[in-house]
Amino acid sequence: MNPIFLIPAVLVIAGMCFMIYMNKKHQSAKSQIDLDFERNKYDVYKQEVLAQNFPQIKQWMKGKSIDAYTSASVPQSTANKVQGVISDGINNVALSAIGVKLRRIETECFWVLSGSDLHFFSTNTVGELDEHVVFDNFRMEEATLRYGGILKSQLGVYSKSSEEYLPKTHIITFNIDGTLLSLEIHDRLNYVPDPTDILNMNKQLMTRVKYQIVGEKFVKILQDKFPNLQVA
Amino acid sequence: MYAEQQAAYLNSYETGLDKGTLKTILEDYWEIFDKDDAIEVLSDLQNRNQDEYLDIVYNAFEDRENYVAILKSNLPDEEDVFKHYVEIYRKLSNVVPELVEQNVFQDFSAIKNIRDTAWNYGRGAFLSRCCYEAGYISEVELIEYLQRSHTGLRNYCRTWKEYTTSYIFGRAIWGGSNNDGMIQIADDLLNSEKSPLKNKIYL
Repeated sequence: MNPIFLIPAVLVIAGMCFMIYMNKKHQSAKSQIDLDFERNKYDVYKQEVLAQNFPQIKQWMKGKSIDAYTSASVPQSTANKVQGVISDGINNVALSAIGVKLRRIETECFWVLSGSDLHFFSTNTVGELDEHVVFDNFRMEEATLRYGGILKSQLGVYSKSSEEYLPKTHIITFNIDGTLLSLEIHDRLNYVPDPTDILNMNKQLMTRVKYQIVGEKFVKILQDKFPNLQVA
Repeated sequence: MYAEQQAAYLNSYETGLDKGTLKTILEDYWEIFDKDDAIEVLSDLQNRNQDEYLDIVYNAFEDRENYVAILKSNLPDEEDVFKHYVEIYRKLSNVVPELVEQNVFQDFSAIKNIRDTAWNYGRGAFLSRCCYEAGYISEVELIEYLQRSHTGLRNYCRTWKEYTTSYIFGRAIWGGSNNDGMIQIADDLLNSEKSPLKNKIYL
């Protein structure tokens, strides 16, 4: 028998061994993290993650305070609605006044709470700032919030076992002079593994934890500032 | 600025515009059909410069950390009135950074005193000429109106440069972006050899 036929079998066995090995490492690294204990370090992680992983947010805020931040996304329905308004040539003064174009739904977006203003940033395909929309205190006082479940655009991409890492969302809806505009607030920052950390399970998990701790507090801080955003 | 935009004469009571253009400006743009309409619109363009609540909006814009408290504690409670001034605050937030980037002015402090007065008085001055040509006001009334406009405007703008800046700012607050044409008109009026404002600094 030609030994070349053995190569696929060897690869499959090696792959399975690697998966078992990584799974064990994952379980081991996970067991070493006490999420509740880590949550006490919110303030430290908020600064650390901002400085090390998302310095662009600080740059976009141009010196304004950053009280809380997390990832965001544009629901498909909102993007369709805004694009419909634009492509129909309807002069929607309200939306154009706040500069909402929302062309993309798949690129990175962020929320930043700064004083009484909620800033929404969307990026282009290379991560550069695309849109910056500010929802001021008076728009916030008229906004509503509801739980939106697991981020739908990512469902199906991941296996059931990795569902715990998918962002859960709240949907904030603004009334822009009669036009309702809904956007998603994630309960964690979007984590994209660094290729150089692919074998460093401890680092990967710890980064995920920090991103979660920073992001999951966002809605609570928002609700403390704007009591009308309590979810029934 | 308005006259230049409409390609009208700059230095006479007559505008030089044809009857059709005058009709469009007065009736379609300003809904002026008779003397009463003319007086109402022209008076409003002068009186709106005495709006004391604008100072509160400008103060709020300068003190962004405290804008909510400043607006809520100093503006009238009536919902529609409050919303009107909040809308101006929002427009300032959109327009000021853009005009600074376009070098119309260096920072907001340059605008705080001159406000949008040239936009109001300037449009009023051109419209009064249109009203005069349409027969809605007499020459005496036109001259009195122009004199009141000049006196009122000088409380805010002392130079023609301040005037053009204030006009562009007012237009941007009214209509948002796309002020390149008006910026070019201002530049021409201030610097062109053929401009009646050339070498004139003060109003």
